[in-house]
Amino acid sequence: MSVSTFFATMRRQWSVVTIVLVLGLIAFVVLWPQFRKFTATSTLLASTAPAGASALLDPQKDPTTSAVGLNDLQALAVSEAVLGRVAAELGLSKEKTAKLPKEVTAKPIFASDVLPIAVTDSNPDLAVSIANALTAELAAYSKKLATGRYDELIANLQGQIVGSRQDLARIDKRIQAVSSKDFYVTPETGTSAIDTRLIALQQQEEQLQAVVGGDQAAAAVTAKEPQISHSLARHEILAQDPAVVAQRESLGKDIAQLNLGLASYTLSYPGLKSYLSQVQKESAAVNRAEDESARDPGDSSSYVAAEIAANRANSTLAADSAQLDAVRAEIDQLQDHLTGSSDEGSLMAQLRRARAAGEDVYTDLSQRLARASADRAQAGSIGSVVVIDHATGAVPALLGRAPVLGAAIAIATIWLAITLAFLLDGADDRLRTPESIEKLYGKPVFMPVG
Amino acid sequence: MNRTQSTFDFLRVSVESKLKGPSIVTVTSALADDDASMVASGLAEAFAEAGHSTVLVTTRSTGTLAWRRWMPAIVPVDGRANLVRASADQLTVDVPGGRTALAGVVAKLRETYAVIVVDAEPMPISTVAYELAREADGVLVAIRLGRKPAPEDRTTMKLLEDCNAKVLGMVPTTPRKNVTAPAAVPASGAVSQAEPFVPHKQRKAEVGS
Repeated sequence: MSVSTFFATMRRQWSVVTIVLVLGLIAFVVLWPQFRKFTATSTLLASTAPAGASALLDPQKDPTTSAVGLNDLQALAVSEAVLGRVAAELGLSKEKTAKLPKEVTAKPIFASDVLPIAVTDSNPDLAVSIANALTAELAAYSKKLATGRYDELIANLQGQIVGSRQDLARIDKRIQAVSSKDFYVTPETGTSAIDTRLIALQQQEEQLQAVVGGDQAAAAVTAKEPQISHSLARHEILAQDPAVVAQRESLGKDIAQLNLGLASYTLSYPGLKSYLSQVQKESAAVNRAEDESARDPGDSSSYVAAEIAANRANSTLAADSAQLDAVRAEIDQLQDHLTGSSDEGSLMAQLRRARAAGEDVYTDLSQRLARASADRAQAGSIGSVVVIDHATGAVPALLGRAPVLGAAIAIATIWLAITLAFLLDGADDRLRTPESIEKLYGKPVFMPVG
Repeated sequence: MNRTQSTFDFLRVSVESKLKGPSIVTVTSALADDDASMVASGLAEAFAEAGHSTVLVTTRSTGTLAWRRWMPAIVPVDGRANLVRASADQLTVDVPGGRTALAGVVAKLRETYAVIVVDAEPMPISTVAYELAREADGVLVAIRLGRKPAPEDRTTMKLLEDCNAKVLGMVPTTPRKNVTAPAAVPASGAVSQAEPFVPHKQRKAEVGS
């Protein structure tokens, strides 16, 4: 196409060209306030764990699966979840919040983990505020995402633990109520305390029976001791009575004299008989004196000791017998109690089983909570998103500069005008050129006249 | 010499180079507003100013802009003997007698003029134009630039082929503006004699003096 053809076309379609150019001018006037935008950029560094790092972790609970990647951050930057928080933090209107996704651009720098986040707004200060709030929120939200599932698990486990505690407290309360009604029904042993007590009492009874048997034997033995020690007591009394001792010594001497006389003489020896008679009298007197002296055996310490031992044995027997009776009475009472407290016993057993099960659940929940807390800490340490560059100012957007916008609109308008002109001209089949006439008639065409 | 004159001179030279001796050049068109009259009158003027004995013949029953421009007054005359009066005369031709009569007119004109330029009505609507195209030594088809192709274009070409006309070429005409109503021409059946043809340049000189 020659220049003359181009200008001829433009001349023919001058009205279209003019209209488009005027529209372009109007577009510039209308669009200029809207394109007067400022861009503030804040930068994030998303250091996520490589896939190989998970090899050392628990394959069933790989915390790297919770880590937020760079691509995730791109999507998160324009997500309603994050932008909604930013809007709430900055107090943005609903209309402004709805426009935010279009005003935010998050595109990572090639082959790096650096993610610049650009916010475009007509207000440069607001653009800076949104950019900084958005990056801060992204960092916080990514951490929340990384540990979120553990937080939910931990919260759930904590709730279950609280519930388990309450169940145990209720069971303890019921056990306490049952136990308070019956001394022998204890939380620890239930009614088995009665059995234990019974067994102990029966053992005690057997022991006491043995003791009482021994006591009886001892009492029987010791009961004979006073009688046995009675003659001994007589001798002891007589030996300790000086008068009797003197009489017996005198009698002894007399007897010895008599025996000497008898050994030397016969009874016919004078005075021997009388001497014999005297000795006999004297012996009778000694016997009387002895009887008189030994009339009270209590004067003998041995006898008294025997009496005391006998009494002690009897008292011991009586005490042990009484204790045996008491034990038997208690055994009878416990047997009656055991018979009457079967319902409480079964209830207590049921409560004890429930409590044991509750304790198992509580223990399991506690262990799971500990594991979840550890996993959460691990997950939180694997991936991190940090703000490495805060937005400090906003620069005018490319199309926010009047010359650039004007040039862009001018280029677009001129291109549109030329395109439209040629399209309309091409669609117009009127005979505008000698060539078109020659094509129509197939005859040579002279120079136009007129 | 203005641009219009130069273009007609160029047209005249082009036509003259394709003709031999006294010639009849029929200027026709497909549509009425293709300005065949302007081409015919301009060409006739160019021949006349070049010193050729020229006559302009029209088959139209009504005047056109060109006629009003070049020939302000068309005086009806009676009798074909008065057709030829000057180096370039204007007349209207009616052919109630059919082809024979027309052939006589053409023969008469050939005897008198070196160049006979016929301003014919559009081919699809005029039998006279058809006959004059047949009799002509060359046919020029005027076609107005800027108009859309019409079925009459195809009809015109077919008619020209049918009558074995020698089409010299197409003459584009520029679009017209402010076309006024055509002047009345003599009634049918008459052969009109106009005022002596005055070339445009000469007429402008006369007006100036």
